[in-house]
Amino acid sequence: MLVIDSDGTISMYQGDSGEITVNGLDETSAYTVYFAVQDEDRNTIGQELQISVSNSNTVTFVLSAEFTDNFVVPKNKPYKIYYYGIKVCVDDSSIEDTLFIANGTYGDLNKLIVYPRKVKGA
Amino acid sequence: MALINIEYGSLASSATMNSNFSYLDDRISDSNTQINSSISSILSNIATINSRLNELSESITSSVSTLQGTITDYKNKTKLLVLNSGMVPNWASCTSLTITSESSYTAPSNGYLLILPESTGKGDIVVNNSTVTFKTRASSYDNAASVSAIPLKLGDVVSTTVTCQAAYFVPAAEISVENF
Repeated sequence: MLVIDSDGTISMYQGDSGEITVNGLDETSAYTVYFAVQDEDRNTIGQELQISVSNSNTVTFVLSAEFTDNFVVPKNKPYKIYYYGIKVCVDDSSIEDTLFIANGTYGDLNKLIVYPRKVKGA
Repeated sequence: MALINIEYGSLASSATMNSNFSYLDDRISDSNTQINSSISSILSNIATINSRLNELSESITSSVSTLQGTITDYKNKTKLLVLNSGMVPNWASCTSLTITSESSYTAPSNGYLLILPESTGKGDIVVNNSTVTFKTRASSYDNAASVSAIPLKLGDVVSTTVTCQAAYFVPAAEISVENF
């Protein structure tokens, strides 16, 4: 399960799954939306997730448990902060826009706070 | 770090072997991460398509409901239009009849009475005690003017002093929504 605050901060346990829905997209275009998670050194964790869609104002990113397994929390830390970003690239066009999350602006960091897993599960 | 090639038949140190194992372990780990990311991307696309399909399904259901309402509305409007525009003859139910001054005809329903007088026929038609005199024909082409189609309401009584070659009653069709 993910918890998303009003400022766009996402909190979760490592190894949990969840969905992130992005609304308000241009439903008159075909585009690809990317979702990336970086650590404090701007290393991308895993690969960027991508969704290709047309004529829809909504996309849903599914963060599988296997994907969030990559969000490692050091054993000596109660949690670790990662950072995420979402970018919209319009197909057959040079338009690429990194979205401002929750009325953010340039320089704002979109936090992904990961807590160590409590249960290994399946 | 890269995979160290070990020549066939030669001895390799444990350090070399461990280095290779470590390299392979890292590569497997990287591949696993990439596969998991790809699976998440695929699941994301499926979730988005599913959401879109739900939207379209709701939209179609709503449109069908609106369309059905519109069709019903137009059916009723068409029915009213036909009913108010006049009587539609039901030719399939056309019946032949005999009508004279002694043998009147009472309309069994709304419809039309068609009278074809004999070419030399002269006289009157009486509808509910109202008399209409046939045209006095001076020429053969006046015969056609004497072919009469009289609209009747249920219960109207018709008689004639004209000798008829033939007479028919054509009832008006019963119009209902199901006819359209």
